Amino acid sequence: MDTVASWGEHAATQPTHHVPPAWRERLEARVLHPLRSTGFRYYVWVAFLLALIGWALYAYSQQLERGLIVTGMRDRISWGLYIASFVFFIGISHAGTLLSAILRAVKARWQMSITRMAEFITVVALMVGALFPFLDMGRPERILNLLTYGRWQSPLLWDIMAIGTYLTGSTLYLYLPLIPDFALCRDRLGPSAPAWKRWFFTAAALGWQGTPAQRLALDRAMTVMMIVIIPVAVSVHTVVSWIFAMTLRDPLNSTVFGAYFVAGAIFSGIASIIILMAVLRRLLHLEEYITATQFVSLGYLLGAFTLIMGYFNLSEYAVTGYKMAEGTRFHFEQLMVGPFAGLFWFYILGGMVLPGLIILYPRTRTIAGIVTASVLVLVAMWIERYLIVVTGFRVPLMPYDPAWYMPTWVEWSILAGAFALFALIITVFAKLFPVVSLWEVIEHRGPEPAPLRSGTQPAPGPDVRGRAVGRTP
Amino acid sequence: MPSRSLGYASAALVAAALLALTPWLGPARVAHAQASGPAKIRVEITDNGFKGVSGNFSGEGEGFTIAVEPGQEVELTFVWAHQAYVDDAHAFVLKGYGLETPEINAANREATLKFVANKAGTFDLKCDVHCEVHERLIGSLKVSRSSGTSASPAASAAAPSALSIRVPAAAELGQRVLLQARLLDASGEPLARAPVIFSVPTSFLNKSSDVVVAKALTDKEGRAAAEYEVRSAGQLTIQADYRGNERYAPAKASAELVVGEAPRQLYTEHAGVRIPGLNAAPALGPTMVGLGQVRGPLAALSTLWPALSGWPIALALLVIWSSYAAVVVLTFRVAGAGSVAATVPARRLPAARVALEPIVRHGLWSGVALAVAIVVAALSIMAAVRGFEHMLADLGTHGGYLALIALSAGALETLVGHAPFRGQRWVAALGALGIAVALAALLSCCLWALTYRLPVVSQVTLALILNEVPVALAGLALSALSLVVLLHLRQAPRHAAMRPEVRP
Repeated sequence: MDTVASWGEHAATQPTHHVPPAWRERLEARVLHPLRSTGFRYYVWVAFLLALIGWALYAYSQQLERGLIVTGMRDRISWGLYIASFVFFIGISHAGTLLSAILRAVKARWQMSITRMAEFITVVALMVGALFPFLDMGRPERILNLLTYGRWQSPLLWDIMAIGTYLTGSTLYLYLPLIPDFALCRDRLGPSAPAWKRWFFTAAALGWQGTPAQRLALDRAMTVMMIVIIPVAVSVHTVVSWIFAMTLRDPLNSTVFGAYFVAGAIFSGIASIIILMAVLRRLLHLEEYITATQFVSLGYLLGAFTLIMGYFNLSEYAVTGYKMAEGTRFHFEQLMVGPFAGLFWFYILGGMVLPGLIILYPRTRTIAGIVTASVLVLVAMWIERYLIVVTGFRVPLMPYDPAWYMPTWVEWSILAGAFALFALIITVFAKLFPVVSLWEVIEHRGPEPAPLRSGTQPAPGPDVRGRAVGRTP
Repeated sequence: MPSRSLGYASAALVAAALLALTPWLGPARVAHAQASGPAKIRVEITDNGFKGVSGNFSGEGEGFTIAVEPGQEVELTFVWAHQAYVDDAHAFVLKGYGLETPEINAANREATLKFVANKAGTFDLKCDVHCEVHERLIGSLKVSRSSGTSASPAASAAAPSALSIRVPAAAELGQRVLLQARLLDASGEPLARAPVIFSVPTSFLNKSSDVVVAKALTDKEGRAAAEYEVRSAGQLTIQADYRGNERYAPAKASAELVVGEAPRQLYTEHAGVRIPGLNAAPALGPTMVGLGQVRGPLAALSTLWPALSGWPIALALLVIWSSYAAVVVLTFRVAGAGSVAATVPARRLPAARVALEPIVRHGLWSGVALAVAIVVAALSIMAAVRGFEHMLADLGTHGGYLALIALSAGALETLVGHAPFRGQRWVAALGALGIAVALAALLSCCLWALTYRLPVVSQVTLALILNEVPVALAGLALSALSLVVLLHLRQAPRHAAMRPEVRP
């Protein structure tokens, strides 16, 4: 019978994990519980999200019928809430890449229990984010013109290619680690599960039995994707930044935008993972498996990125402010002391300074504190995208008064619908797929070790090898 | 408990942040100070469009602008005053305020709008009824603190000044011309170190304004000069403007400059670095080699080919999507490897035999067949389009590609044929990438031949060097890498546990 110890080349070089059967059974029961039963609150939540999405569809129907005049966008400020939200969602999609790929590449084991959630966020955020360019078009059927008449020289075409490539790769990278868990679901859910679920898990498991050859193939595939997805993710956020930076508009015409957007994407991605972790941990009672370790580790990352983002902002504003070209002066005034000052300083102070202090100070470096910091970061990063788009377009290019932009109810409704769609897809995913990567947690992490007391050695546990992920004997 | 208190504090902080973000993330409106008394503006609608009669206005026709202060009560009266177009009727809309007048015509000659200018900015004022002077009935209402285009009180007490302008009578589009102005006082004495602004009236969509094209200071002779690159064709009015100070009143002057060629704009097609194949035409193209007729449908096909433009992007995408394809293949091998029962001999084999054995055992004949089929197809197409002699020449230049295809085809066969040796699947995947890239280069050659009918061997070689070597180099590198790894690969896996075991 195949055992945990036979997985991968690490088996012969690392000691076998001590996986108590009770712990493993508890883990499986907790993680598979949402797949087995559905409570009343779930339906209420889904109904609420569907209502929001329905209202957003009504708002979009108004936009389709009457044109973009129902939005606040006009000829001078032609990008607004939609494009800001597009950049925001593409940004938080970096979460999965960071956790699943980068941390897996450096063998950071603490991320095993949350890697599935991160991969969820990546795929769902990409799906929702990719809708916004369509929403921004008054004539969405003309999207095909981008492909039939597109030129390689266009950053918009680079955007389409990059996001399409990233979405495909992220979907593959989400699916691959799910295969053993699909097999587990196939074997564990039993005849009480609906027939369509049993069929789905059987088909999706691809006949997984946990044989060495299968493990080898899967390990190789995941390694390829782990290596490939990192540069793809970096390229996506860089290319998204270039739709602004490749223009000649004064505040957007910056060479630092590529790196700035990548850092911002990781920053907002970490915050989104922390928030989703907290929510799912609370709702699904995963406190035993998602502990303070994950929150504090991600909190340190978040804190590090407050410094990185602060550095990028300082570099950008110090360099342009030192020269203070005509358009820059206007931009500085509108941003720092003018009509957008409130939003800008909230982004700086509430989005970087305050979260950094919360994470720096040990007494506030708790789960609640880190989640609070993450909420502040996420709100601030959305505001930052909004400021980049709207204030960038507001700098006059010709001698006329600067235009004003204010989102209308249509835009707010559609944005709310997009967030609701994001939450709905995550909710459905959590109902269909295990939110914790069971086989990885079992095989690579095991239960959290008990803290040692001084002068004592931990008693050796029984040499119990966990059962293989796959068919039960 | 600290965590609970922190929770309450954090909730309060977020709520406060959300409140601070209202109203609806719009920019803060400009605070309006107490405005001055009501503004009564009377405007006549003549055969030339808008004509101000009283109130704070400037310009005529389509440049007509009314200026008021924020918060000021405005009474705007339109008076129908046509001489020639006696049948014209008008109804005016003020954009931004959503106001509209009833229709005025010869019978009903006056209409008045009364409102409070509580929105700052510039708003369009135009006729909403099609009429003879419709294009000249486009004005604007400007609501700003520094409104008013009339001379300031300080300037009205200043001494008069005289400004004259001199420009060439004619110029060519893109030519740099010298704009000269001279500023004198009332007694004819020159005014030194006075700023003179040269501008050109410009229209964009329905907006008209003066675009400043140069600025200069007067010298001790009162002369100011600046260069201007003519960027519009047609008859241009160059304006010189002295804004005045506490001693001297403002002054203006204008002159006509006729620019030859049909009215059009100068613009730069290409900006930044020109990269042949990316944002510039390839170094070798139809205009450079004097090619013949380009075939219709195939020419359209060639415009999609990355070898002609954007080849770096296409190459990057090719590598990434090939990795995805390899992953998909590996994933399906998960499905097929559930009952692997192959045994692997543990004995060590010579490295060369290890490298060649799968090719000999599985891939040689099928790989050769595959390569021959590709070559025959390509040569047939080229022979049909360009003739037998050119086909032979192309065969000579494409010999390297054919060798690549043969080796890579063997590796591809190994991938498909359950290679039992550890790592060889990866090597075969690399070889498959090489075959894909080599095929890309070969197809590129075919497309060049099909669309441009390159006449001689040297031209083909030049085309290959400039457009296809980047693609071919990638294929060469990948295939070479796979060969090197194959030749140095050890047969026995490092860990016995990795071998697929015989299942009872």
